[in-house]
Amino acid sequence: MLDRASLSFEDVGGLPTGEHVGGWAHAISITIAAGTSQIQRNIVAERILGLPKDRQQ
Amino acid sequence: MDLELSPDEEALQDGVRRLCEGRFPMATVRALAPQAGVDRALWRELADAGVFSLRADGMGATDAVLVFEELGRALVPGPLVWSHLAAGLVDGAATGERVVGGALVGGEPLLVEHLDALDALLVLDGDRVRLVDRGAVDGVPVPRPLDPLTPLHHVESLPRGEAVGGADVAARLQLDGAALVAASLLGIAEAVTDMAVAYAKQREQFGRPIGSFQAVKHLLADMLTRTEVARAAVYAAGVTLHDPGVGDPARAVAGAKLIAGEAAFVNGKACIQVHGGMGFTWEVDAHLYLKRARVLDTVFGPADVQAERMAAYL
Repeated sequence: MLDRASLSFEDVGGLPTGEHVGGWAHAISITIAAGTSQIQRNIVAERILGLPKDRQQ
Repeated sequence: MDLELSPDEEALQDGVRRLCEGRFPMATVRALAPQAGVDRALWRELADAGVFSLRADGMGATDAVLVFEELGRALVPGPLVWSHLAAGLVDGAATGERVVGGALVGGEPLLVEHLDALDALLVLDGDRVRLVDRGAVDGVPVPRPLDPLTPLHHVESLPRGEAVGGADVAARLQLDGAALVAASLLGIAEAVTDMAVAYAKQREQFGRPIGSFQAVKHLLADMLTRTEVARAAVYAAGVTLHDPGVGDPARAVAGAKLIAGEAAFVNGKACIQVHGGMGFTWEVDAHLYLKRARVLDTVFGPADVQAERMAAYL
């Protein structure tokens, strides 16, 4: 959507784009920090759905 | 359509890969950031290897695609595609004596890559191709470019420069440029897959390598699948550009850039995911690949434009 303006962490060409680019970059860490999406799915599957654990004891 | 590499093509691929491993290890690539991504001596070595001149030397689009796949895989920075495109049009580009960058006019803001490393710019403006001297271009540096290895200048307007080609040249540059960028994106998709697989085999959690967990394994399998689909599309584009008798080059190139762009971008994110908390640190190279993939998407037709072109065939 931002096209070339997406290549700068600061506003460029008089458009308020920097915040969006920074937000996009930061969002990539959100699926990792405090338990990855993969770990969250395991928790949902095992604790909420009651599916058997797949980890070797 | 035969997409198997011939012995000569395998030798070419191997030669460029060795050159990149020898001359552009990641420490060197990272160190190029303060000099606008270009070291003149290394640039001449790329030229000597035929990176810019290979078409003039009698090789075809299929060979060029293999070379740019390797350059992408090694994350070699600089206006590689533009200097390659300029080789038949601008004196000194083929030999690496002049570093030629470029600008695609249309769409704001106009951001020129690697400006401080350039001698001249090819300007692709609709049906016209012009050559502009670096000294005639005024630009404001972008303080924090997304890709630290692709510095940018914001340019309000470009001087007219000298006409070097009309509609036929412009169309050829657009098509060749998109194919070579697609090849670079394929290289990125491969590189991040290799990196993520190696890490998943080595990093242990819960007493096992994380690659043994199905959730991680499937991320990696998807990365390989995207890469191989992209390879088929990119190689098909090279073969079709080389011999338009086998298909429509415009269609093949649009499909290649779309698929390779998605492979590089989605694989880049997956590589960070597999690396976990390490993945989004500055020290791990994963972010550099993802950022380069983003840069490459925006040149010679971004994904949405390529998708529109493909839709027109339906």
